[in-house]
Amino acid sequence: MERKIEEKLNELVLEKYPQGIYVKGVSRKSFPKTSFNLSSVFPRSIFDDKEEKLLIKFLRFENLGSIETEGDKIISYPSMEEVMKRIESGFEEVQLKSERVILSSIYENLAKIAMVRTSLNPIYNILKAVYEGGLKKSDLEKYPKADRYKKYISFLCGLNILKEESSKYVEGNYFIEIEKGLKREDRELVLNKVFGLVIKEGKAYLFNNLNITVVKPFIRVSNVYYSQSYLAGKLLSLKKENLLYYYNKMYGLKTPSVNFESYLDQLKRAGILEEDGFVEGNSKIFTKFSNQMVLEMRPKLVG
Amino acid sequence: MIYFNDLKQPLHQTELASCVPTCIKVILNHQFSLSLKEKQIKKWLGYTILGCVPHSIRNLSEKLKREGIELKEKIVKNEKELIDLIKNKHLPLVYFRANYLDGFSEEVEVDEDGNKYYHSVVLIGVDDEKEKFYIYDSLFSYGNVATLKIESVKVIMPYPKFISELEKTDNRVFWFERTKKKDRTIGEFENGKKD
Repeated sequence: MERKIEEKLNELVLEKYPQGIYVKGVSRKSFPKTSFNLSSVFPRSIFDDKEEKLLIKFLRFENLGSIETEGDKIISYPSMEEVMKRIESGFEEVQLKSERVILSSIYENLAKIAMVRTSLNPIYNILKAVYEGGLKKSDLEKYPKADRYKKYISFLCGLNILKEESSKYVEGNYFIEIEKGLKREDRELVLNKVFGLVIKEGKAYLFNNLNITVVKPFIRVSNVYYSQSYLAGKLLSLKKENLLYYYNKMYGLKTPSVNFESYLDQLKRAGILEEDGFVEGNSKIFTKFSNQMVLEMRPKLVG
Repeated sequence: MIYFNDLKQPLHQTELASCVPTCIKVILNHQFSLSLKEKQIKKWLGYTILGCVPHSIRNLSEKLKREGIELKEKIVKNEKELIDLIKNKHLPLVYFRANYLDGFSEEVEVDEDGNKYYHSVVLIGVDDEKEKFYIYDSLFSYGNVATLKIESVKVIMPYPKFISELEKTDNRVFWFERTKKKDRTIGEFENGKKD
């Protein structure tokens, strides 16, 4: 970059945009015009309560817009509102991706949570019936709330977990794959894995169409803990109240501590989080989560 | 000789993007006993949707004039001008790159992208024999003390390092001075007498 235009670009950034926005470099040259790319870093603070250390990490967002120049003149640039909207949608994208990644890292454990199991009991019953030889269509009519069961079955068929035959529902491809990898005596394990898979693959449908949101806080609390740890590059030791603070802040909630304690308690029982004075994580889940995040987030997020 | 301003109510910033309003709140309270809400300062500064910090605090200028306070700004390239400001009991606000703390503190660790992010701090004292500046950084918690005394300062920086950090943010220094005329009080403003 030539000195004069570099100075002008820096002045423009300082005047027009908030902190963290910077000129990344030339994105396109088409004589006589040159485009410069805007990028941004956004700070995240993470406090490890055991080490009593504040870690300041930055999320990086790129391609926020272009500044067009001609010679040493700036001819156009995106408005601050446009740039901020792109950062905002970048944040949403990061959050959605990390939720997806955490879900695929913990779904088997989620199936062990009593509250989740209870609210999805009809699904569990269907899976059990299918696993034990198939669910006859004629039997389905005898179920109380048969219509609701039909909805669940159609949802499970859509996920390839069940398959419809002329007179009954049997195991679909995904179900068979899981079963193949395990012995018949691991009955509970097979069902748990399939059940977890239902939550993982069908999350959006469960939330939006079947109105089953009980699993949401467990995914979110896990996401907050593991994404903070991912940014820190290690499993964090957090005070309960600080994890609650991060949770409420990240999701714009006002969850009272009594509710939060109950989520935490269930997450501990399911082996997703641990507590020994501080809330800590599970190293296997962390490794799985981190490896997947590296692939998913590049180049948007650099921790 | 040491020149040091015992800083009244050294606040700990509430969130990462709040360094500027926190520093301004502390300065105005210390120098002019003017107690403003952080929310109000943010509004005047023009905070964006994500709570990002504007680069400049010039937006404050008009609002503070009503209180008889003038915002001053200067490009400073050597320590002498800063020392003079401190001797005159001013509290210069400066911007550093957020990773300036690397190697300065065991309590804070900033990743490398901190060199792309500005962070404001306040210069509160100088030791002209040891050639060091005393800095108030709201990233640190000073407990609930009424006054930040010299022995509790967390960042003490030699002149060359200070000037070098200042150069990275274009040598810009801001401070506040009392002017003679006071148009209208902030209290009046906040009680609904709009512009």
